[in-house]
Amino acid sequence: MEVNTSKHGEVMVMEVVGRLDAGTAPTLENELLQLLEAGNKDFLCDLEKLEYISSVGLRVLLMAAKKAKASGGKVVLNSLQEHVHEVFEIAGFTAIFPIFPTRDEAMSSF
Amino acid sequence: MVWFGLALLVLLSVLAVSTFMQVRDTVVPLTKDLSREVLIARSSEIARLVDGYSAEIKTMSQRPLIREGDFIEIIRDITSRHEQINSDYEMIFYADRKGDFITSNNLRGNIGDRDYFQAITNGEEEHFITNPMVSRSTGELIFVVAWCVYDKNGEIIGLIASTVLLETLSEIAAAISIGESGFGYIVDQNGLLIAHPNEELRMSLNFLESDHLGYEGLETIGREMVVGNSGVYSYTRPNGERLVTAFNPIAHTPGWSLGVTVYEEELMGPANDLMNHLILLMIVVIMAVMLIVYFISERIAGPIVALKEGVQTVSAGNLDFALTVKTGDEIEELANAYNRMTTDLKEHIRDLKETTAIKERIESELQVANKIQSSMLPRTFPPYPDIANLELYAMMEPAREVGGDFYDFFPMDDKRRFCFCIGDVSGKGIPAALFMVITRTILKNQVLQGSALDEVFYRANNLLCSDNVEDMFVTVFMGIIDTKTGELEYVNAGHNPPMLARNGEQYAFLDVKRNLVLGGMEEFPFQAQRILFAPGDMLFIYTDGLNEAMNSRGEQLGDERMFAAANKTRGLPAAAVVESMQTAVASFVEDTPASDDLTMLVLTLNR
Repeated sequence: MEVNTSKHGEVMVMEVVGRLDAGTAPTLENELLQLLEAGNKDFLCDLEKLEYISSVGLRVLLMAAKKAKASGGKVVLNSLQEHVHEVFEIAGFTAIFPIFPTRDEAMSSF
Repeated sequence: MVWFGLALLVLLSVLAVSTFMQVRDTVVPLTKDLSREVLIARSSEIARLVDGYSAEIKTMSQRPLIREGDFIEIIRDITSRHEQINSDYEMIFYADRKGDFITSNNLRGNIGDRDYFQAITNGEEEHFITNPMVSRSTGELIFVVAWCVYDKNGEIIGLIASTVLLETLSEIAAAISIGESGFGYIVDQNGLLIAHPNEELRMSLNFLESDHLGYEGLETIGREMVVGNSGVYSYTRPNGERLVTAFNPIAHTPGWSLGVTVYEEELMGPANDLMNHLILLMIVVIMAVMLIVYFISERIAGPIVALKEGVQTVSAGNLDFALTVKTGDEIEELANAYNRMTTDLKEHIRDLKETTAIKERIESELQVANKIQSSMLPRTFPPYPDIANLELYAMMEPAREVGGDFYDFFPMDDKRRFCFCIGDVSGKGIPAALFMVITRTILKNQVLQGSALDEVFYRANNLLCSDNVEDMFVTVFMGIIDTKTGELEYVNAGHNPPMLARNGEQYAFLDVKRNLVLGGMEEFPFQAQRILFAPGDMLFIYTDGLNEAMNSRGEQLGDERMFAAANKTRGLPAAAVVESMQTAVASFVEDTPASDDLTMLVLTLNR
């Protein structure tokens, strides 16, 4: 897994590439925690290149969403591949995360 | 060390031998040349001496007084000269044609039978130098230098001669000194030794007949000498002494040769001395070099040997052994580095022991946890004989010792309805297992309080969300089936949709509403659903350990293969269905260890 982080205005854009499973989730978790601690509260996760997500991966995103919400921000997702979207759907996460078809649309939600 | 010493020895030996050869080849010929120089000089000296005797006698023979032939006058003349004659002479004498002679010391006799007398008086020789002989008048060893005396008419009237003491020659020969013990000698034309420092040999040793006396090589020398050759030869004395002699013919003599003899040992002396010096020097150099090499190698190899032994001691298991090398160079650094390594190693071993002990403890605790967890899940099948038409089978196989999956089932208070559920906590291991226990307890409590399922999930979710510091969540499918009517109420909280096979038909996903997982976010509504479950219908609930089971190529079992496997189990009792699916998963993943817990629950209503 690879995470490409960049800041656009107040929004942290994180492009997650590869597999997000029990092995790689801690990397993303640590990065998110650092960014949250640094005061960032708005996150855009571009999941266009995310190939797989396990429940551990969902947990990390959920954690980020909760913490962002607690500090008045939010986590939005965009460009989920179909099978990834299905996982979100099964877990009911589509009710928690605003999900957009493109990054631009996601960006304009802030 | 030894090889170095040997190589050095060989090299220095070669050097010494070659130097010795060089010196011998240079010094010996030089000595020989020198001997020859001396020899030639001395032989010409003798030649001149003899020539001088001859000239003196010749002068006398031409004096008018002598030529007068008056015996009385001659007697008076030569006796009066006796005191003034050459000291080398024993005397001078005059012999008339009959051989009667008179000497300067007034002795008389006859020499008519002497060869030289006859040769001169017969007119064969004008003058004569004889070989050594015993004097007729004195008995001394002498040789004679004679000249013919003519009268005024040129007629031979006699001869005048001097007798030279042989001693004189020996004195000259003895005066020749070559080296410390070199000496000169003279041999006449018959090979007889006529002058020699050793009186016993004088006039007694004949070179030509010396072999039978024990000499070796002397006869050869004698033969060369008597024919008037010069040369340098070696010979051996009867006592074994080796000598080298050089010889040269003496001019104006009847065929005598002057020789010089040097002990071979002495001739070789300088070369031998040099060789001895070289050998001594070589030994000193070798010993010095060996000593230096020894000290240097001791200095270099000593610490290395210590290092090696230390390393062996440590590698044999004695980690408390510390190397002590104080050389102040890289070796000491190496030893120190090795000591540090040993210390680190010791620490690591201690850490490892501790870690292993901890790990073992954890593992044994995990095994206990595994037992506890298994014992918490109901394992009595068929579950409730009271509810005769309910057939249910379930299994949970954690990927590690303890898992985050669970299943549960229990009858409701009315003994008619029956609750069952399956869950999957995000994550694995102890945290997941603990969260799973909490979830299961909360759910059971809420269900048994008699609330509707959506309410049960709503409350359970809020309970799980509070104090959920780890942000864990759990997907749950829960159903309550009325075993009399077949009415099935269920909630799917983020869980994989179960498979349902209507009375012998193919399996299909059960229609599920998308609810959020439990523990995800507080105050979230959950939707319950209802279907009618007919006898013969088969409900297959599972966690993602089934459809996401992975083989060594990284492929997942997937929905398609899962359905295919499930469809093969139609008609089988619940327990056999679970067993068959387990087999299907095992044959798909082969040796790949499971990465996720696997839980399956199969439920059917019999007629």
